[in-house]
Amino acid sequence: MTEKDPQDKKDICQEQHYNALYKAHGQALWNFAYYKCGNADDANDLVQEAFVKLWNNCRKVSFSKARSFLYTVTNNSFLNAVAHKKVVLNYRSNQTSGIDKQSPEYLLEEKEYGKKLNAALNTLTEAQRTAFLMNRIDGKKYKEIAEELDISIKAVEKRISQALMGLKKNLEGFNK
Amino acid sequence: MDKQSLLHKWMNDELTEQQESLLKADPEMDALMQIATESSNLEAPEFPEAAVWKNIQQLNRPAKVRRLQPLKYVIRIAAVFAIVALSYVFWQGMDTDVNTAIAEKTQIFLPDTSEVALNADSFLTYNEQDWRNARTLRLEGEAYFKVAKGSAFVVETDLGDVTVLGTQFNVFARGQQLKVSCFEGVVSVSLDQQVVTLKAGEALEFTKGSSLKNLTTSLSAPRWLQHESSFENAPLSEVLDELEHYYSVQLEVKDIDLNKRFTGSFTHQDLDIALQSICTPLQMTYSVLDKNKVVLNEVE
Repeated sequence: MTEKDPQDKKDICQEQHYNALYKAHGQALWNFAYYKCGNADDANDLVQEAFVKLWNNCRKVSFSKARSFLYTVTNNSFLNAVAHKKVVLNYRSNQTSGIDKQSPEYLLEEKEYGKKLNAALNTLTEAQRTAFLMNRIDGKKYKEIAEELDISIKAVEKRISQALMGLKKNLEGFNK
Repeated sequence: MDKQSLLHKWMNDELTEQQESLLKADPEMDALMQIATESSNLEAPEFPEAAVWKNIQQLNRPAKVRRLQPLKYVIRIAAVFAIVALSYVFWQGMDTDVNTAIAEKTQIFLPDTSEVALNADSFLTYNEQDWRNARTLRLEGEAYFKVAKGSAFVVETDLGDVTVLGTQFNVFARGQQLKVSCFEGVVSVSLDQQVVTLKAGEALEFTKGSSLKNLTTSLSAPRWLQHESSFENAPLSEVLDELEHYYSVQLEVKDIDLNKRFTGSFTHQDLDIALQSICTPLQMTYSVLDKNKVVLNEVE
């Protein structure tokens, strides 16, 4: 591919552009790292490492490739360092439901459900969970996820399907 | 379109409301959609954006790399050359100084194989670089010269210059006195107003303000080279002055006529013996008080 992206005129070695990349992708990359390892400290380290690597390679990586570079590096570092750790994720429940759902009974149920959902997410494989949460929490389209994970859209669909089925199965187990 | 792909489209917000309600009609799909909706309400923990950024910036801070500055090296090399050149010029213009302390004697070999024996408490200076052009030395004190044959060899003193062509001679130039003894060849001594030529075995003694004395010497080399000072009919003051060049003592004289004449010699190697050699013939006694203080008395 020799297609020129106008963004590539931006030199990552220049601090303003490097800075902009952090502002644009730091949060999502951190979430991605968190979905994978389930530990905020490890996520910090992974994001740090990825951005430091980007800085060290700022001459080799074009601006348009920076995002996938960051995700690839984070994934590799995760596989090298963190993957063997036991994953315990803990997500906060985001109470944005309508006022009519604020009855104490409902809230209790919701809280219970949140706990169950958290537990169920921990039973998923890292690949399933990451793709699923990138879509659900970060609201990313399958196309974006495919780019960032460097897999096909079909593979993303498969992972998310598996994630949904796995969660359903697990939550039904709780209910019964 | 099968329900799975419809579900994925829904997950991507690509379904119309109509299609969505159609999908919800399926209880299986509805269950999955509920889980998906609940999952959307989850949040990852807070991302410590600022703290992580700070760490990144710290890690990115480049290790201090010093750029090579070619000009700096050029300046350094130039500085070295300048120092070498300057020190050569300076060194060439510099006189060689030889200094002896009390009781110290030294031997100097000049560039033309001439030799100088420098007696105690004396100062000799000459220019080593310029030696081939002018064999000139400046002396304060006493020295014995063995001069290699060649151009004029000049010893400058306060009272006069001693010029030779190749010989052995002794120059004594202390205070108001100049004594020159010639042991070989010919020596020419130019004083303020006259030039005196000394042949081997001849000597002269010149005291400022008084007359010139012609003497003879039967020695083949000055006595001090054998670590002795000898006198013939010399006033006591002169003898005591001489003594102080070889021993770092303070002499105190009580009720003694300093013009007493002394003929004899004393050694440079033992203060007691030297004092005895001086005192006995002059009928004096001496007592060593402190380490460095000697008092001379007349015998009662």
